Amino acid sequence: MKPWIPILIAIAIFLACTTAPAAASKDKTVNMAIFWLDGDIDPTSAWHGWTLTRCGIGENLLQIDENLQYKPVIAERWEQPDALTTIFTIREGITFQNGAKVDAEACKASLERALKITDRKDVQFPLDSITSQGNTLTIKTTRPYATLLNVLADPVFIIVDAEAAAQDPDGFQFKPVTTGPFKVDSFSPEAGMVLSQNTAYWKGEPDVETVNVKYISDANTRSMALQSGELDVATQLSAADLPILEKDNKLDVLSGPNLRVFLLRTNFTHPWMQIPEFRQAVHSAIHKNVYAEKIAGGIPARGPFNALLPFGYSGDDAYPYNRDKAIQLLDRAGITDSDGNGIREFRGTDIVLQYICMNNHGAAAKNIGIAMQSELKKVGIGMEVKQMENFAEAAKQGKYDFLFERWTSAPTLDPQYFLESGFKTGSRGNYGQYSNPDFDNLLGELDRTLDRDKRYNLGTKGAQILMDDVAAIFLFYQKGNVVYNKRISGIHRFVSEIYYIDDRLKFANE
Amino acid sequence: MNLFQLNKQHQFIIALSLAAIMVTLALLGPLLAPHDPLETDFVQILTPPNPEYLLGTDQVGRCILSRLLCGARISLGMTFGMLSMIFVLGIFIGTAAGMRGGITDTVIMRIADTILAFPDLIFAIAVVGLLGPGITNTICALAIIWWTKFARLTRVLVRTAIHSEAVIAGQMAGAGTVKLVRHYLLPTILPPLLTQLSLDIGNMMLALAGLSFLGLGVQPPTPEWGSMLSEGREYLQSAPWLVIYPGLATFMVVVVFNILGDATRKYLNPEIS
Repeated sequence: MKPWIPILIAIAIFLACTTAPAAASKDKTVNMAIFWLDGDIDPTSAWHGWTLTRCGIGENLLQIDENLQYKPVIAERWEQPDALTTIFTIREGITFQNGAKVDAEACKASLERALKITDRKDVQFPLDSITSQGNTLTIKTTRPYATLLNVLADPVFIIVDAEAAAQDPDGFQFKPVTTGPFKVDSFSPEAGMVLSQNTAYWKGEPDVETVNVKYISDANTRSMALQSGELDVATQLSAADLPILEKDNKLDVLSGPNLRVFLLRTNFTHPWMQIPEFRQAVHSAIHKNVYAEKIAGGIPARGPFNALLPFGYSGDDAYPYNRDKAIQLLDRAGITDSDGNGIREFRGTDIVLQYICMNNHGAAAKNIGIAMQSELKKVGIGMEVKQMENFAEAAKQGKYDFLFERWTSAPTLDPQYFLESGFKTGSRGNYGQYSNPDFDNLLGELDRTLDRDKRYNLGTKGAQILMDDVAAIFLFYQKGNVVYNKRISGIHRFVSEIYYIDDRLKFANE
Repeated sequence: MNLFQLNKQHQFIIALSLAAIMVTLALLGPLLAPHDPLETDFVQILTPPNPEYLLGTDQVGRCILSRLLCGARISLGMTFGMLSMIFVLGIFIGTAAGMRGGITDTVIMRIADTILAFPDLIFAIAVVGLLGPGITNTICALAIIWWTKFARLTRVLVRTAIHSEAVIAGQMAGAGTVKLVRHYLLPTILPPLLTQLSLDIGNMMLALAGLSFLGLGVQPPTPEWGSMLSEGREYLQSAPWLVIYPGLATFMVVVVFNILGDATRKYLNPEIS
């Protein structure tokens, strides 16, 4: 064989490889990455509806826009003539992605399906009746329910074609029939989804024909895929990578605080954790602000609610960093190091706390554990840091002292959801079995209060109780980020993180 | 004269010296480390290499050089600990199978075949998953798989050596089983086993580092090269020194031990050119 033939072949292969992305960029496909995907995308399953709202597949009667304001979507308007009644006017001309008409009856069927199927207690409301007539949907509750609108904006109440769901329940889990600008062509829990445009979308045909949604759980991989041009849009990039992405001329970075709070849940079933001085000492022994800013690239937390929220807390931390005070508190509680091995004992046994986090919590979760480990050792408390694939079992069995958790603490702009589902006595999410009668009474009052300002005030008070009790160590608020290739536009950063792309997505040069 | 032109003995001595230097560095690591490898310094988080921190600092402000030096003891210690375990276990079981023959041989070899049917790292991950992460459990998980390799080799060598003149002479002189193995069998079978052992050091280091990389080996804050690579992975672009130095250290040690293995093989088997 002549020597130049392999060289020509190599050049041809090289050119083919290098020109491929350019060819791809000409078509009407957008590649996006999501960092979380579960086994199905039926919005009534747990929090799976978030995938549908994030990818522009599903819509609610009303939603929360990028500025934390209510936005009418399928309902064109609503009114509350009395404390028990809410009347929605359903927008004319909306169809499901299968062509079926969306009217009040279809919305009623969708809401009733969600209420029947969902196992999430935080979205159940005291329903008396749902009635439909033409385009008028009336929801009556058995008692005044202040957060009805907030709850209806939750992705669990995405309006779906309940009839299609009833006909093919198995298929519906992977190809739900909704109203959004994009519909699901294929779904794989390991790989992601392929979406195509909903040509009959009520706001007009979307500009983008296909969206390849790739499930990439690793933040570093998402960053590199953005840089290589393999991805057009991705979220939740590592704070360490943001300066590099900002320098990349072909990318735009949107960044700012979101509603997500990262915390360490305290396990009250362990006797040492029941001692207030011990919990306060641990809190005082750690440089929480440094963890937030330098390790996690976030904003130091002062409780569960970000200052962006009307019930956010902006006062001082209950137990700010003070190592000497931590030592005094431990000594006062009688927790001392009697055998001189550097670790204090509780009833004769060295205290070695268990800190557990999950792999998908990212590097910051483990690194904060490592930093805490080093600081707690200086006050004589041992700690083991474990990062695992899934800590659900360990959490249920109480095999931890600190459980690293990630919460969107006010997805519907109200404090009740987080306080109740995370810390009310006996609630399912209260893994640490925290219990405080004052806190429970406050939740009861919150449930009965309709006035928005009073509710916000109660939310702030509830957060204060949790901080004073060290029911959890609130570590940091996340800085959310969305990074996208300049070849596309119409990307917005939603503070709630419930939405990533919507009908405004288009190509920049058009 | 370059390394490739050296005679076998010189090659062996040079490789052994390099390996000895590395082992010495590992043993003296904690004394040579300029900082406490566990001490966090929040002012120095992700600092690039500088005169104070020669190899930079990591994501919680720990000195990477100190962690590398102290981690060497753990990485090499784990490797040699596991090697000793599988070497002794493999020789004992292999000799028993080779000497006894019959049903003992069949049972042992079928067990070994069954274990060898699994891909080694996947099997180790499953075992560590059951036992829980940690240094001891990781060593046990890999030892459960790798004893089979030495047992099979030992068995073959014993079956061959048992018919050698030296062993027959020992039997005729009335030596008991223990004496026969110790004085007549082991001197014959040890050289090829040692060669195999030295060739495997690199593979074992990589397997252990791999399990630590996956979070199954050593647990934080203990410094170990595999876990350092894993922790640094997130900072591949923003702070590459977190992965470059542990990666280089692992690479160099594996190369040196592979050269040593090769040199040992040539030195102990003069017929290999």
